[in-house]
This record gives sequence, structure tokens and C-alpha cells, in this order.
Amino acid sequence: MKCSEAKENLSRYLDGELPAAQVAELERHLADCAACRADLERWRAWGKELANMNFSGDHDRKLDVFETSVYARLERGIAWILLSLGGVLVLASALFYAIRDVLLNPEIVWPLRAGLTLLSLALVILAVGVVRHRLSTYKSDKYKGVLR
Amino acid sequence: MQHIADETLMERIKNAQDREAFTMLMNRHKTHAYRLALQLTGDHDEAMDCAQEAFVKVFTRARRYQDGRQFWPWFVGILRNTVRMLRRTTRRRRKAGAEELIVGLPDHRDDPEAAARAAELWRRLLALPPKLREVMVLRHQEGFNYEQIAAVLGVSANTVASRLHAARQRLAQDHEM
Repeated sequence: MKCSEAKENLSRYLDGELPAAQVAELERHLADCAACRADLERWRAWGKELANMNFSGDHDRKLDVFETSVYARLERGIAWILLSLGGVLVLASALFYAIRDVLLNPEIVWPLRAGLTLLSLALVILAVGVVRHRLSTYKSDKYKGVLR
Repeated sequence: MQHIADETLMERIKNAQDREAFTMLMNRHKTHAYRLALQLTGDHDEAMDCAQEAFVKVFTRARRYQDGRQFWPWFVGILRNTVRMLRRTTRRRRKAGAEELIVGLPDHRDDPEAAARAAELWRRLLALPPKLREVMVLRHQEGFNYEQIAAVLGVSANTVASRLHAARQRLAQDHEM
């Protein structure tokens, strides 16, 4: 086995993920190759250091109020949902009444009324298209189980 | 007091929005979650933000939890995606450099050389692209195998293997420079 081939498998070997059939061959190479052995040992040492790494900072105080902060975020989230729903309802109602008053008003010239009708239709078609697209991509999304 | 499994607590949260169970789960894992987020972000404030936001998602999206599924790998997936979203939406500069974060291993306190080695490794880890850093953290900090990492990241085990290999090579290149 050449060093280039061995290096390809070194990572999997270190992590215990190399198929058994290739382990013996790699170990034979490692027994003869000081450079690959050195790489393996260095990677193993890094793994140990990363696993035991410790950090300083002012996080202890923040961890004390962690629970309070999470519940505050939850409340803010609920408030935002209510605000958004309220906003959508107000806007939709305003839009509906504005369009209705213009379309049914005989004093307004017909080209303006026809234009507004077409614009309204286009908005509805676009909205339906977006919702349908979102639904179809969601159904075929293979990562939908991964929470974002 | 009788120990209640994470998965049982999760089912209580899912089925009854049980705040007591949620608080218990949060207190049990907050330090670990924060520490993991710190390794993924490299920033104390961002890590705290992400850990808290991930727990908010645990509560608000508990209905997506599949009964019997191990809690911690599921949570790590949420935390990792929260970190990724934060990275996308904010461009905050890191307030603390790697030097401020590192204290080294407890047994390094009397060993300046070992502490310096750990600090150097941390600096190089932070310099890795996020995709490479996260596989190193999940492999070594969490001890996840390739399949578990693949499930968290939504990629194949082969991709995990390639990224780990690339990460180690990058760390070695930086080491030799």
C-alpha cells in the first residue's frame, strides 16, 4: 500500500469506521511507515485535546439565568406571532375594503377599475402559486425531518 | 429522587406542554449545550444565544419529536441548525478572540506548554470552514460516530468521512506552516 492510499483511509481507521477487510492492510503499512504513524498519532492527540478542551469566560452567571432567558424568549415568540397575525388581518381587511370600494364605485373610470381587477387577480394567482410551490417542495424535501 | 430519562421528559413536553419537564431537561443539558455551541461558534454570546434558541425550539416544535428517539442527538441537530441560521442572518464580529476563550485542560494549569498547544489547536480549529469544524466538534466533543453525525447534518456517512479527512489535513497543513 502506498502512503497516498494509506492517508485516504487513516481518518476512517482512527474513528473506527474502516471496514475490517482494509484494517489489516493499513496496519501492515503503518508498521513500516513512520510518516503515516506520525500523522495518525498527531490526529489522535488532537482528538483527545478537543474532547477535553475547557473554556473560561463569564458564562457561569449567564447559565444561572439560562432558564429565565429561555422562558422570556418563549413569551416574546408568542407576542410576535400574535402581532404578525393581527398585522396580517388588519392589512388584508384594509386591502379588501379598498378594492371593493373602488371596484363597485361607478364614479371611478372603467380603465382604472379593470386595471385594479387584473392586479387583484394577479396577486391571488401569485399567492396560490407560492403556497402550492412551498407545499410541493415540502413534500419532496428529504431533509424535512431535520429541524431548522 | 428518581431519574427520569430525557426521552420520557420529551414525551411529556410533546404530549402535555409540560413546563416542569422542560425545565428539568433544560437544566440537565444547558451547560453541555452551551459548551457545544461555543465550539461551533467560537463566541460566548453567540453560543449562549444559540443554546437558548435551541431550547426554545425544543419546546415550540416538540410535536416533531419522534417517540423513542434519543434526545441528545436530536437536540444537537437543532442546535447545529440554529448556529447555521445565526451565521447566515448575523454578521456580528467575534468579541472574544481564541486567546480569551481558551484555558486549556484542567491538568494544563501547571503545564504552560500543554496549555499553549491546546490554545494553538483551538485557533486552528476556529480558522477551519464551518462545515469542517462542525464535523470535528461532533466527532471529538460529542463522540458521535459517522452515522450519527450524518443524521445531525442531513448528509451521507461518506460525506462525513470526507469532511473529517479534509479537516484533519487542513489542521495538519496549518500546523506545518
